[in-house]
Amino acid sequence: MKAFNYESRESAWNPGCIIFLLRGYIDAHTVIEFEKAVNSAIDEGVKQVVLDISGLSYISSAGIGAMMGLTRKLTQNGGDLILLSPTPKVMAILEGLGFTKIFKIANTEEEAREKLSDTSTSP
Amino acid sequence: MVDEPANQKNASPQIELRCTVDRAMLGPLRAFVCNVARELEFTEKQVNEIEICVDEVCANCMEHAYSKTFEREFPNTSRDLFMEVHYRGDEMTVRIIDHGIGTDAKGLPRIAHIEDYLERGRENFRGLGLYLIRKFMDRVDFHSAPGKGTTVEMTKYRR
Repeated sequence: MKAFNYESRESAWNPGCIIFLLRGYIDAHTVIEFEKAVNSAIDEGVKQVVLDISGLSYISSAGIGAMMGLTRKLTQNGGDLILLSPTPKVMAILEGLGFTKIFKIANTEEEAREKLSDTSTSP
Repeated sequence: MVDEPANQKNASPQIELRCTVDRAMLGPLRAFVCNVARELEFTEKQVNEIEICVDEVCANCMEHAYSKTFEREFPNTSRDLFMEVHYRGDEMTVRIIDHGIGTDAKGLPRIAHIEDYLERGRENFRGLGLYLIRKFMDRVDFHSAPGKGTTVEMTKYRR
């Protein structure tokens, strides 16, 4: 298995929202590729990002820090970032460190859409 | 039967590993330590906690221990990371050692709560690794001095 790879697509409900399907792991080695991919979408004007992490087997503090930085970048521009379908292992890490209260996490794409529309309709 | 040397009589079983300082090695290092922890019948939750702590220390070593300053000042010193795993009874200890630049421990970020991390995040989201290690391991010892390398020793108890 490759250490990390991803696919991205526009969401069906909003062309301005990109869904990244992440696979493998994000550690201090692979985080650069992950950040580069999402940052280039943001630089092209994307304001809403869904990270489908159902295929992510592991995340380190480097990955969590990168997701925090991307979330801040998006929210400062009126956008948002949602984590979709974390595996039990990744969820346990996020929970153990208190990040489930900080990240917006959805279990389904429909739930992700609802959380994003909450953001776009809030004042 | 030949007696064991005195210094090995009470020694706990130990595995030693020498690794190139290259972040691409983090995956294999994690796999190694997870396999040992599973073999010792730690729960899967504990295996995952050991995995991320070992990863954090190794990644930190790979980023900071052998800087360009170190290369200039100590050109003939090996640039490797050493990992020792000891186990005895219900505890597993992982010791990660480098012979790099070292640091003054007083300069390390002290993140006691996730709020401290969010506060630091105004500049950059770093420093989470030490918080995480203190949270997930049962005992952590850190020895480092400028120019003398760093040793981090972490112990997890099987419950």
